[in-house]
Amino acid sequence: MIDHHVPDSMLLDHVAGTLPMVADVLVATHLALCPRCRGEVAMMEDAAGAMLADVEPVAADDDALLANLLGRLDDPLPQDTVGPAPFATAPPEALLPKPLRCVVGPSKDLVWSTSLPAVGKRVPLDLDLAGVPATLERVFPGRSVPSHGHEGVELTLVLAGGYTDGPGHFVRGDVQVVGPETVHSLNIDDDGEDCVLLSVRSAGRVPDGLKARIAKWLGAI
Amino acid sequence: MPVRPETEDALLPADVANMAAVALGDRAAFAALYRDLAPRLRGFLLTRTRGDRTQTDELVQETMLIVWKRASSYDPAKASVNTWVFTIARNRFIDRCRKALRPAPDPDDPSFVPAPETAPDDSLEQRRRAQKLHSALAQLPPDQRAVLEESYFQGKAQSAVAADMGVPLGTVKSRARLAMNRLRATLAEES
Ligand SMILES: [Zn+2]
Repeated sequence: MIDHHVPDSMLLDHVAGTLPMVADVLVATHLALCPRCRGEVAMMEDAAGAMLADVEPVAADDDALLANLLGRLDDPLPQDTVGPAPFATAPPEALLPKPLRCVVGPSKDLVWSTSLPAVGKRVPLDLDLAGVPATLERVFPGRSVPSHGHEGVELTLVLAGGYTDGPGHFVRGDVQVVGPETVHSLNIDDDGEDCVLLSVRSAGRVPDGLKARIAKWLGAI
Repeated sequence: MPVRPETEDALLPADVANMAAVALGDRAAFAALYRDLAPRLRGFLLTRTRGDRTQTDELVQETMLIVWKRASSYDPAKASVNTWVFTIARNRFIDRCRKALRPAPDPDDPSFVPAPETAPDDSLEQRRRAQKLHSALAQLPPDQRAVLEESYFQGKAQSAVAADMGVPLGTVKSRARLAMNRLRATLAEES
C-alpha cells in the first residue's frame, strides 16, 4: 500500500511537462504503481484541457495548412524529430515498471558496483541532458545508509524491499522527498530482501561532516 | 459535413461526434475538427515555443496527424477532446525537445498497478465533470489560475513561476495546492 505520494506541485510540473527528464521518469514510474496519483494527474490534465478551450485562437493560412495535412494523412509521423526510448522493447519484468525499464534497460543487464562494502551497490544513471544526477541503489537487508545531508532536494522511489527513515516506513512505490539541510539515514528492513531505490537529486549529495568515512558511499557526484 | 451519429444522445458535443467519425476515417469530420482545434493549439504552442512560428506550425500539423492516426483510441468516457489533444500536443513538444518518446505508464505492463474497483466510465458523467471543472476554473482566484496558466501554457516549472511572480516558491506551491483542492472539491459536489 503506497502511503508516500509525489507532491501536488511535482505532479503539476509533470502534467505541464517541465520536470527534468530523470525526475519525470521517476514520477511516471510512481504513476505506474499508484492509481491515486494517476487520478490526480487525470484531474490536472482535465483542467489543462478545459483551459485549452479558452485559449485565444491564433489565425494562420488554415486552408493551405489543412489541404497540406489532408494530403499526407497516410504518411508516417516524422521520425527525424522523435525516436523511441532506448530500451522501448525490453521485456516485462517484476522489478522495473515500464517507464523506468524503457530508459535504463532490463534489470538483469544492469552493472552494479560496490558503493559501500557490506552495505550496498549502485548503478549511476546517465539519463539527462540537463545532467541531473540519478542512481539506482541496492542496499542489503538490515543495513543502514549512513546519515547524510543534501545541498538540494533528493527524491527517492522504492522499487523493492523497504526502509524506515524517522517515523516513515517506505515500500515499493513510495516516494520520499527530502529537502535541503535535512540530515537523515535509512534503516533497511531486515526481512531478507534487498532494498532497491531510484534516487534523483537536484544537487550533489554531501556527507554529514562528522562522517568522512562514508564519503566513499556518497560518491563523487 | 461532419457526421453526427443518430444513435447518440442529442447533447453529444460536436467535437466528440467528429472524433467518432474521424475514427471511422471520415476526412470531412477531420477537417471540421482541424478548423476548431488548430487555431487554439497554435495559441497554446506559440506560447510554449516562445513564439517560434515554424516550430509551432510543425507541432500543430504533427499533433493533428497523431489525432487522425489515433482517433480510434480516443475514449469520451475518459477525457474531453480538448484534454486528449492537450496531452498529445504537450507530449509531442516534450518528445521533440528530448528527441525521444516520453516514458509513460502502460496499463498492459505486468508491473502496472490497476485502480481498485471503480464505477464504470461513462461519457455523460465525463462531460459533466468537464463542465464542472470549466466553471470551477473560471471562479478560481486570479493568482491561483495564473499559476496553472504559467505552468501549462508558458511551460514554466513552479520555481520559474515563483521567480516570475516575485513570490517565494512556497507561495506558488500553496497556490497550486489550493487550486487543486478547489477543483477536487467542485468535482466531489453533487450536481
Ligand atoms: Zn501516488
